[in-house]
Amino acid sequence: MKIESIRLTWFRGAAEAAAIRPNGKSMVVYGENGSGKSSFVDAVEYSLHDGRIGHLAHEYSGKHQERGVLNTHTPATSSAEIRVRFADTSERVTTITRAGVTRGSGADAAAIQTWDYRRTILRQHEVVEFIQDTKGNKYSALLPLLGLHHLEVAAENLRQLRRAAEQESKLAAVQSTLAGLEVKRRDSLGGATDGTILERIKAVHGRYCGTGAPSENAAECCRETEQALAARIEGFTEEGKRQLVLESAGGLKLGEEIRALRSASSSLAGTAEPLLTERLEVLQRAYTFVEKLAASGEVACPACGRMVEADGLRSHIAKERERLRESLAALDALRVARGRVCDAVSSLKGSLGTEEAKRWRMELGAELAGGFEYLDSIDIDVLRASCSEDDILSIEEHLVLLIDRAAARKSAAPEMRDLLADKTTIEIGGEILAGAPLRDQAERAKTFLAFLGALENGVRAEIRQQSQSVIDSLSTDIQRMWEILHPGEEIAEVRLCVPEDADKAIDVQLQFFGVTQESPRLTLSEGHRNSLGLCIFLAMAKRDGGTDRPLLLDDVVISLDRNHRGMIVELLEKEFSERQVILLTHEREWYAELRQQLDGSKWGFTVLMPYETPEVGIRVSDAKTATFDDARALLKVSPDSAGNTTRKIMDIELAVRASRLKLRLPYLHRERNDHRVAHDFLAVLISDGARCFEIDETGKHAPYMEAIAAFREADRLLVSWGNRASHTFDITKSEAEKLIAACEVALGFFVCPMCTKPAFKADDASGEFVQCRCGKVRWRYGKA
Amino acid sequence: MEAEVPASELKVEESWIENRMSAARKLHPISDSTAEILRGLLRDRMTKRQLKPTELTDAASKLLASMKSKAPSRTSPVP
Repeated sequence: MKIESIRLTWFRGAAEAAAIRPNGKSMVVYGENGSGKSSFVDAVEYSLHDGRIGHLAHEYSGKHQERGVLNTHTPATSSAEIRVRFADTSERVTTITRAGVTRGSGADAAAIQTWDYRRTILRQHEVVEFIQDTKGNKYSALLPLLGLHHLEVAAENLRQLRRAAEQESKLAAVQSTLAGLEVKRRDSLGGATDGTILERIKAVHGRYCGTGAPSENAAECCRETEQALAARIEGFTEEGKRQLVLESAGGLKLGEEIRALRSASSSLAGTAEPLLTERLEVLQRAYTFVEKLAASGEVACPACGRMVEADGLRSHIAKERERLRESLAALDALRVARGRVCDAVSSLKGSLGTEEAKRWRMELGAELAGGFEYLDSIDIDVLRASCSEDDILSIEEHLVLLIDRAAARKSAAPEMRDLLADKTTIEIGGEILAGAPLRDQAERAKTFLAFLGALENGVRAEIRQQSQSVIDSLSTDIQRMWEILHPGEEIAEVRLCVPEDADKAIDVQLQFFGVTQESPRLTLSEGHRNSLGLCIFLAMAKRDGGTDRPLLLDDVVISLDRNHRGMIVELLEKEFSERQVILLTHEREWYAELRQQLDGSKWGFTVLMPYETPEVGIRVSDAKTATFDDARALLKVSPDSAGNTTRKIMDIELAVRASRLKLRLPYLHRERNDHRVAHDFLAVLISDGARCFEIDETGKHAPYMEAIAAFREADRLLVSWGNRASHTFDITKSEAEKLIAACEVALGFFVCPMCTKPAFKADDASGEFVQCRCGKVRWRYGKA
Repeated sequence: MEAEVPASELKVEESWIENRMSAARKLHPISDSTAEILRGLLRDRMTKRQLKPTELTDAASKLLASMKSKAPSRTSPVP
């Protein structure tokens, strides 16, 4: 989608109509400051972003940026308009009302809105943005080029899926239950294995169920045995039953369970309390943390307040998580201990609530009435759901004493104790064996969660791997472009890299005189940083959009010195020969050089005239080559400035021509040798011109005397009036006008009147002359 | 045996799904049906947009349920 033309009406600096017409070619646009060059760049950005310009995003521009987008003198009945026409004849038209409301049309050309601004337009102030940005923002800028959005989405989805699976599986609760069963296995059954427990259950079954092989199904076996035990107990006397109840109640280790609960609670407090205190501060620091993270490399950790590198925060947070895991483990232990207390209370309630225990309760009378009343009032389900410290205190106060009394009263016969032990084996053994499916469930959940974690890590590793491939490719491009701009310099091996201690981060490394630098900000000058920023932009732009999208470079070489600026042409021709590039510059000298160096068949040149008023707007000059419009614009206001400008134009334009013609200038002392002025060049052109400058008007080349006369006249006026304009500011308007005219005529003789190409376009066959395209006008290299 | 899709039938951009799933299964064996469901989710939705909480819960539930079918045994020791 190469740009054919950009036409503006009442948009930014434009008035009724202003247009540049690259016609699908690359273009250099020259204009002094304020002439309106950037208005065309703004127009592309406005079209690209569907109605927004980045540098106008501030409080003064209005809700829709209407105060900045529209020409200040837009007539009341007019709207602003941007027309971007493309080489395929499609056109994108954007109309902007006075209220800033935009309306776009041109569906075929709507693809412009898919262009990435950061790969299409580079402005002067954006050149070093990438270098100065944080590592995370560099990564974000690169992300669209990595083409890994689908992987990033997948990794995040896997992470969220893992959390959802953890919640769905209720793994924490299941593990807590299983932990409780293991404690029972250890305490009540001596740590016996499932197989041993089943054998014991079968043995008990054999003792109480008589003949018949016990079922292999543990639940069935337990049920039958419990029935047999109940029947046996039913055959006891009342006293026997009461003894059994008291034996059961007196055997409860409620006091020990409460002490274990207090210990677990204390352990949790020891690890969790400092963590909880710090966590409370997170809320206050979170806001400042988010803001500071974007602004600087160091931020205060929201967890502990220490200043840490933003990129190093990940490892810091990992350590905090480890601390949290210890607290979570303590919390698990507390849950198990609490569960066991509730189990003991439940068992006590069951035992002392029976008919058999009622006589014993009556015997105790008022002595422990409060304890029994409390026991009867307990709702076990409520207690399990929320067992507070007050509940523990009440249990300790009322129920431990009951158990002690029951233990003191118990005097069961040995066979009753054996029966009780067998009952415990059946109850707890059955409970443990019934928990086997829970173990399988927990194991499956843990395996699946671990699998998701491994898969997420694998996807992130895939992201790193593919990122590295793209980063390496970009680094190669950046290095190649850097070497074009800075051949033979000791700043080398410029590359993008992924920091070892950070994810989703990119940095720029280089070798500075053999020493590795982790950032260009450490040692590079401003000019070099800008140059590097340009290389990075161009490398990324080259990767994005193939050859179909234009690049707009707005005054991006300001901080480059002349030598390095001169390399830009080579860079563009080598790397972007098939791409449309629109260069905008206010540097007259560079514009003159570009006109000479760039291939005229691939590049167009446009000059914007000095800005007069908003009503007049942006004006495009008819001149394609050297222009004296800047000087003419000053005639009315300041003739000496016009004369001075004319002298500067001649200094630049003649320097370019002297270089192409390989003029041999006499040596001048010291600095004067490096700072030639127009008079120096004209003197040589005049002295050598009769022998070197030729035109073919009669079928044979002859000295171009008309041109030499024009050089003489220009030189005469420059010496007399040009110097007066610069030094004494004493030149009239008509003198300045004549000076401009004479200089314009003199420069015009370097263009062939027939083919309109410069006389120094190419060498002739012999290599002795440089000539125009048709050969009519030529200059002999060096002195004849 | 794992029901793996032959590499020749995969698009280049999807090969990473098989490679990474295969590597994760070697460490943590999951059932074939679970792998199949997750593979489908990755190809159809999980690479295109962030799933909603309800979608995640639903997927988690189905995947956990599918884990009840027999998982292939590890072919190599877990490191």
